[in-house]
Amino acid sequence: MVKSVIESLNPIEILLVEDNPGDIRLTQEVLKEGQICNHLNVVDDGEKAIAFLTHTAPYSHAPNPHLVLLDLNLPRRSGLEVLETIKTNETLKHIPVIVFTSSHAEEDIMSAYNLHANCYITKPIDLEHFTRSIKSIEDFWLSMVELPSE
Amino acid sequence: MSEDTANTGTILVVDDTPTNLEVLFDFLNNAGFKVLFAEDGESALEKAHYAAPDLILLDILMPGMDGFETCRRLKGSQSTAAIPVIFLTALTDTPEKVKGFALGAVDFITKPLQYEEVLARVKTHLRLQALTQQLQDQNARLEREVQERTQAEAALRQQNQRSQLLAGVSLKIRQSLQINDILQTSVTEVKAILQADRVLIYRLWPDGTGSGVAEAVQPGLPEVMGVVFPQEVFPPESREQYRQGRVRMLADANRDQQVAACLVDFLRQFWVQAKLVVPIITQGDLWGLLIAHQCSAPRHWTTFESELLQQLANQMAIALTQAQLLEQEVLQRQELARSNDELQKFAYVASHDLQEPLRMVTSYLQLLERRYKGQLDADADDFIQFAVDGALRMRTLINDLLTYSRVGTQGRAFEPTSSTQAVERAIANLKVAIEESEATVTYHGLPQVQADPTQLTQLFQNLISNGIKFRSEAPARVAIEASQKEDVWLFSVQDNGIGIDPQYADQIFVIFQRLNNRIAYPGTGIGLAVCKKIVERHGGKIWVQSKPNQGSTFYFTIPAGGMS
Repeated sequence: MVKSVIESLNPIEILLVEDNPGDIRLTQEVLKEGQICNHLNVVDDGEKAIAFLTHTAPYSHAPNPHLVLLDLNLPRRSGLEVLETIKTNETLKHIPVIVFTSSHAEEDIMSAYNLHANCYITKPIDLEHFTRSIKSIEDFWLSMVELPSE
Repeated sequence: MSEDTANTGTILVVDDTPTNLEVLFDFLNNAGFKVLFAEDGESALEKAHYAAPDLILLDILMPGMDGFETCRRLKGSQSTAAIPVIFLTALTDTPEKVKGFALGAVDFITKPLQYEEVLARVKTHLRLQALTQQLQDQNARLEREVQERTQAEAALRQQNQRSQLLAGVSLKIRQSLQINDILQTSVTEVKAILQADRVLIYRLWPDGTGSGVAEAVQPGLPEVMGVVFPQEVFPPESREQYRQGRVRMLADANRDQQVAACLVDFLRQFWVQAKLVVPIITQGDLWGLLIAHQCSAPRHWTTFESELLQQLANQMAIALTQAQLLEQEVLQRQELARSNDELQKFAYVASHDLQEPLRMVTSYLQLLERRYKGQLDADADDFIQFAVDGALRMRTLINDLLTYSRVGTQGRAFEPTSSTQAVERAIANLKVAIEESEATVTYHGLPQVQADPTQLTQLFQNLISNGIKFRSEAPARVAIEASQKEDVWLFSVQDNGIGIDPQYADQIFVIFQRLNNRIAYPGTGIGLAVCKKIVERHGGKIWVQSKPNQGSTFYFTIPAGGMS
C-alpha cells in the first residue's frame, strides 16, 4: 500500500542521529517553523541509532521512522556504519537516509553514496541556508515523494 | 804520470839460485817495487798467502816443489789464485810453455834474464792486474747497486701493492654509505687481503660493553657475531691505550705469557692462535676495533700487514664518520618533512573543526536576530549585528585558511596543462566581477606547462581578481603574457591599478597580510599567499614590480621541463 505521507493523519516520524546539541536544537527550531506535522526522534550516537531502528531495548517501542537525518561524525558507531546497517537490512533499507553533516570531504561523499545514502547535504554555515536546506528536505522528502507506508 | 811513480806494487820473486835473486831484487827494488823473495815452493806459497803480492816471478826448475806445482797450488788457493804468475825459465820448448799457461801463468821470461825485458813485462802485467782489479771492483760495485736497486724495487712493489689494495678497498668502503655495508665490505676485503681465518669488527658501546658488528669467517669456524662481551673485557685503561692508537699483535696464543687468563679462554673458545688488532677511531673517540684472527696456525704478523690494517681502519673511520653525518642529515630532513606535513594537517584539521562551533555561533545569533529583532532595544539589535558580522568574517577567514592549507594537502598530480585554458577558466569564474567593473583581460602566447590544472586556474584567478579589485579610477586592464627564459616559463600579469609601494613588495605574499583598508578593499589577505604557495609547489618563484599609482606587474615562473 503506497500513499503520500502528507496524506497520513499521523505525524511524520523523523529520526535525527546527531551528537551536537546545538544542531539538534537548531533542527528542532527550524522544523517547528515548517508546515509539516512531524515528530522528531533524536539519538546522539550510532549505537543508539541502530538500537532505535531495530527496536532493541530501550527502544523496543520506538516508532518506525519515515526518514533518517544522519550525521557522519558520531561517537561509538560512525554514521557510515549506521548507514550500512540500514541499507543492508531488508526491513530498513527502504527508509530514505539523508546524510546531513559538516564534512565536505570527497571521500565521505563517495562512501555515503556507495552505501546507498539517498542524498548528502553539507550543513550550511549560516542560518538562512540551514533553514533553506531543512525546508528543501521537508518539501521534497516529506511532501513531494511517495514513501511506502507501514 | 811519470814512469817512476807507476812502479809501485809488491813483487814476489821465487828462485832457488841466490845470485839470480840478488840481482833481480836489486834491479826491481831500484825500479821502485817492493820485492819479497822465496827460495823454494813451500815458502813461496806461505809468503804469497800472507803478503798478497801483486805479481809473482816464479822459477820453474827448483828442487822439491817445482814452479809448475807451486803455480798449481797458488791457483788452487782462494787467497792467491788471482795473483798473476810469470814463469822464469831456461826452457824454451813449446810443450813446457803450454803447460805453464794451462796452469794459469800469464807469461814467460826466458833465462838468462834481460832486465829491461823483465821490467817491461812486469809493468805490463801489473797494469793488466790493476785493470783487472779495477774491473772486478767495478763489477762488484755494479752488482751491489743492482742488488740495492732490486731491493728498492721490491720495497716499492710492496708499497704499490699496499696502495692499490688500500685504494681498492677504500673505494669499496667509501662507495657504501650505509654503515652496515661499510662494515661488511671491510671485513670481507680485509680477510681476503690478509688471508686471515676470521676478520671481525668489534664495536665498543658507550656503556662499556662490546659486540661483534661485522664478521667474515672461514667456513667451519665458530662465529663471534652476536656474542656480547661485558665491560670487564675492556677496562678503561685498555680502552685508553687503543684510543691513542695502540696496535696489538699476538703471534702464538699458546706461547705468549702476557695474555690475560680471561682472554685465553676467549681465544680458545673461538680457536684463535694468532691475532692482529687495530683501533678504529672516529672523531677522537674509540669507535671499535678491527681484528684479524688466524685459527689454523700461529702467525707472525709483518709490519706490512699491521700497517695495512691500520690504514684500512683509518679509511673505515672516515667512511663511518661520513655515514653517520649522512644518517643524521637524512633523519633531520625526514623530521623536517614530517613536522611540515603535520603542520599542514594541523592547519587543515584546525580550520575544519573550527567550522562546527562557528556554525553554532552564527546560526544562533541569526536565530536571535530573526526571532527577536525589534523586540529588544536598538542597542541589542546593534550588538547582535556586530556579533553576526564578526562570526561571518571569522567564517571567511577559516575558509581562506582551509583553502591555503589545501594547496599543500589536497593538491593533485601535475599533468600537461594549457595555461591558456587555465586563464580562460579563471576569466569565466570571474565573469560577474569583470562585467561589473568593465574590466578588460587580455592574454596571448601562453604555453603548455606541467601543472595541477585546478591550482593553475586558481593562481590566475587570484592574480586577475587582484588586478580588478585594486583598480584606479580608470577601468581595469589586465594583460597576461609568458616567455621562456632558459629552463623556466616566465609569466607576467600586468594591471593598471593603484600599485604597491615597493617596500611592501614582499609583505603582500604573507598570509592574512593586508595593506589597504577593509571597507574600500574587503578581503582577508589570503589571495597572494595562496598564489605564492601554488607557485612554490610547482617549483617556481613569484614576485611583484610596482610603483604607487602606476599599476603592478606580478611575475611568476614555472619550470619548463616540469618540476624535477
